Amino acid sequence: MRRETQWLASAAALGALGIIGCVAGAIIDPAAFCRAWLCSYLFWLGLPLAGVTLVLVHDLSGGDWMATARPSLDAAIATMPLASLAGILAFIGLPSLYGWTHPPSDLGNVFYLNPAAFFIRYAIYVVLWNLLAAYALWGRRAGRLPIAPGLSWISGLGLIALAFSAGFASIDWILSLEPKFWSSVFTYAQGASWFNTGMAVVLLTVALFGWPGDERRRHMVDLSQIVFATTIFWVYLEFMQFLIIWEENLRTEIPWYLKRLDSAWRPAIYVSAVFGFIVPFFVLLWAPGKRSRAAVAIVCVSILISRLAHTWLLVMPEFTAPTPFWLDVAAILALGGAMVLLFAFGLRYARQPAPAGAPIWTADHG
Amino acid sequence: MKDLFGVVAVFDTAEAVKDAAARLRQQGYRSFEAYTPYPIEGLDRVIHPRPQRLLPGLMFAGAVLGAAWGYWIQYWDEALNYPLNVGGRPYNSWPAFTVGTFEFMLLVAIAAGFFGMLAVSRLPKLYHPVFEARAFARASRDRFVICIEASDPRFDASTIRREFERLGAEQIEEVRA
Repeated sequence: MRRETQWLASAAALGALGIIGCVAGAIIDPAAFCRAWLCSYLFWLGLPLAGVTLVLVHDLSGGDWMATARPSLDAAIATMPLASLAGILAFIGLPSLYGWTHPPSDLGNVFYLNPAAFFIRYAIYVVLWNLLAAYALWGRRAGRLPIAPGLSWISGLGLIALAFSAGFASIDWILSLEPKFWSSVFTYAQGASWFNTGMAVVLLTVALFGWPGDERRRHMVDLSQIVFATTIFWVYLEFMQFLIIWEENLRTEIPWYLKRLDSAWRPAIYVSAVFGFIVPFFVLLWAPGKRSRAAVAIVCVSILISRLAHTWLLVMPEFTAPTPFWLDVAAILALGGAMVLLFAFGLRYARQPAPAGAPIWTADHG
Repeated sequence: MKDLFGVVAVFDTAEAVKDAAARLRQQGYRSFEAYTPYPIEGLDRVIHPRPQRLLPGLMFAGAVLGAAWGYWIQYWDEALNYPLNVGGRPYNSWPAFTVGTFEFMLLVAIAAGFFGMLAVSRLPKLYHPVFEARAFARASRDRFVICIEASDPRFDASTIRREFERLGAEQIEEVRA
C-alpha cells in the first residue's frame, strides 16, 4: 500500500509539472501547444480503446486469462471519458493543425475535410466510444466469464463499429495532416498501435501488482502472447506500408516518408522499431521471458517508449515550425498524470471477482 | 532366452495412468513411457517435467541460419553477381530483400523443426520391443499402458511388478528385447 501511494504521489507530481509546462507553453506558443497536445491525446487514447477492444473480443472468444486481466481492463475502460474528450484542447487550435482548414483550390475532398464535418465526426466517435465503454464496463460479466450468450451480438457489432470508427478517427486526426497522402493500411496500423499501447499498460499492472499467484503467472503468459502477436501484426503493417511505398516511389506518396527521414525526428524511426518490435519479439519469443515478471514489465515499458516515439514521428514532421521538446514532454505528462491517477483509482476500486456460483448463467469457453 | 526389455502394465482409465506415472516418477524411476489411445492433458509433463530445450534451440538456430542464407543469396545475386539498376534504387535494397529473407527463415526453421522432431523422437522406427506385449494392441483403442524399461538404474522386475499391482494395474507383463 505504501509503495502504491508513493507511485501515485509521483504520478500526481509529474502530472502537475506537466500542467504547469502546458500552461506556459500555451501562453508562449498556442500552436505548438496544440501540436504537443494532439500527440499526447493520440498516445493516451490507446489505453481505453485497447481495454474496450479486449473485453469485447473476450465476450466472443472466452478465455481464463480474463480473471487476471479484468480489473486492469476495467480501470483502463474507465478512463474513456477523459481520454476521448481530451482531444478538445488540441482541436481548439484546428486551423493551426490542419492545412485543409484553409484549403488550396485543388483539394477535391473539402466536402469531407472541413471543420464542421470534422467536429461532427469527433462527436460521433466520443459518443460511440463512451457507449461501448459503458457496455464493456457495466455489462453483466463476472471475473473470467464473458457476457451472457444472448448479448454477445452487441459485442460483435460493437467491435465492428469500434474498428471502423477508430480507423476513421486515425484518418481525421493523423492522416489528414497531409491531405494528399493516402495509405489504405494506415488505419489498421494505427489500430494495432493503439491496442498495443493500452495492452502494454494493462500487462504492466498485471506484471507489477497482485502477486504471488500461480494462476496469475499463467494468465500473464496468455496476455503476453496476445501482446506478442499484436506487436508482430503492428510491425508487419508498418513495414508493408513502407515497402510498398518505397517500391512504387510515387510522387504522391514517397514525400511522406522523406519528410520524416529528413526531419529531426529521424531517430524516432529506429526507437519505435527497436523498442516496439525487436525487444518485445525476442524477449517474448523465449518461453521463460513470458513467465518472468521483470521481463514482461520491461517489454511493456519498451512498447510504451516505442509508441510514444511513433506518435511524435507521425505528427511532428508535418510542421515546419519546431515544437520545443519540453512542451512535447509536458503535454504527455499532463494528460498522462491524470490518466494514470484515474487508472489507479479504477484499479483500486475495481469490481472484485464474483464468488463462485454467483453468475446466473454459465458459458463453457476455453 | 532374450534379455528383458521392460515391464508393461495396463490401466483402464486416464486418471489411473496419470497417477501411476506421477507415483513412479516420485519413487525415482526415470526410463519409463506411457502409451495411450489419445493425448492425455499433462501426462507428458509428469513423465518429462523438464522443458524440452533441444528442439526450440535447433529451430531458432535454423531461423537465424535461414535468414542469413536468404539475405546472402539475394545480396549476392543483386549486388555482386548481376547488379541491375532498378529505378535508381541501391543494389543492396534491404527493404526488398526482407520478404525473401523471411521466407528463407521460415523454410529452414520449419525444416529444422520437422527433421529435429523426427531425430529427437528417434523416428522413423519400424519395430519397438513393446509391440511384443499382448496388451499393447489395446493401447491404441481403450487401454492405457505404461512400460518401465530395463535401462532404468532402479529396475528390478519383481519390485516393479508389486508396485504396479499396488497402483491398480489391470494386467502386468514382462517384455523381452
